[in-house]
Amino acid sequence: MRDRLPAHDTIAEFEAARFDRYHDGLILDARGRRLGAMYLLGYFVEMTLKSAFFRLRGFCTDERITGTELKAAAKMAANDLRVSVHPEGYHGLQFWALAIIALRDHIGEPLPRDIALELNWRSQRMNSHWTSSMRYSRDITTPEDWTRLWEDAQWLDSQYDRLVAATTE
Amino acid sequence: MPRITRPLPRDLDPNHEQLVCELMREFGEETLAQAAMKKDDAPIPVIIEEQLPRSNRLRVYVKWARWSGIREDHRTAAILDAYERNLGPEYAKRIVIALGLTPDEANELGVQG
Repeated sequence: MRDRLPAHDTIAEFEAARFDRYHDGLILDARGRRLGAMYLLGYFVEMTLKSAFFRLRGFCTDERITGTELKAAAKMAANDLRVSVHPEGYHGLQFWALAIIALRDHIGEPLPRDIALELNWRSQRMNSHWTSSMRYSRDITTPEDWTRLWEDAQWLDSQYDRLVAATTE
Repeated sequence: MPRITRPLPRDLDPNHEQLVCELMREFGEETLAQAAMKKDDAPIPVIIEEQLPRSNRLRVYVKWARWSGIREDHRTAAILDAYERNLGPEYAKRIVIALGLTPDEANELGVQG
């Protein structure tokens, strides 16, 4: 199967896979496997944010996104956008969200303030409910944890077009 | 016919006014070096304000042990209200990122100050 996986990530692959992980998460939650459900939902969020970031950077949908591009994105966020939070191995939900808000200003297409502020606190909440290393843990989640992450993921998906659209405030 | 529209009531922390009041005491000029001298577990908040590059909009981090147990959206609302009351609505409207972080959360995220 490994040789059938895409050779590298792309926006197109992120945008297709994010919905697969979303539905995988919902199925696991319905079967009472909450930590696994949250783990997969977090990847939905991560791919949504990464897709938005690279779209805003002007990447074509089939352009390769490898470690080199991720490293360059983190460097740009730190140096040009002055995002001071850790990228957490490029999995940091808060990192990508703050980078998107700053990038929109940087390219002269600032996010509407209400969206930016909501993205900021929702990404903080998502970050407090998800980490890529949770896969090594037994299930310590609560139904409220799932509800919060699911609500935030739903909100993010509903705003995706606005995150990447060239609307100026 | 008169038409009356009322905004939805804001969802705030039960101690919102107290949080805003305590935050407002901290406004003023403070260098990062002075802020860094405050201990992580100090009860006083450390306010880190940065201008976004190529923009006049602001990113604000408030590092404060008091945030523990307070919802993320309530933290943001308290920060925005403290700015609005202290520096005026026009200044507060420049804020597009308002993050309230406990010292532990700030350390995990790598936010210095």
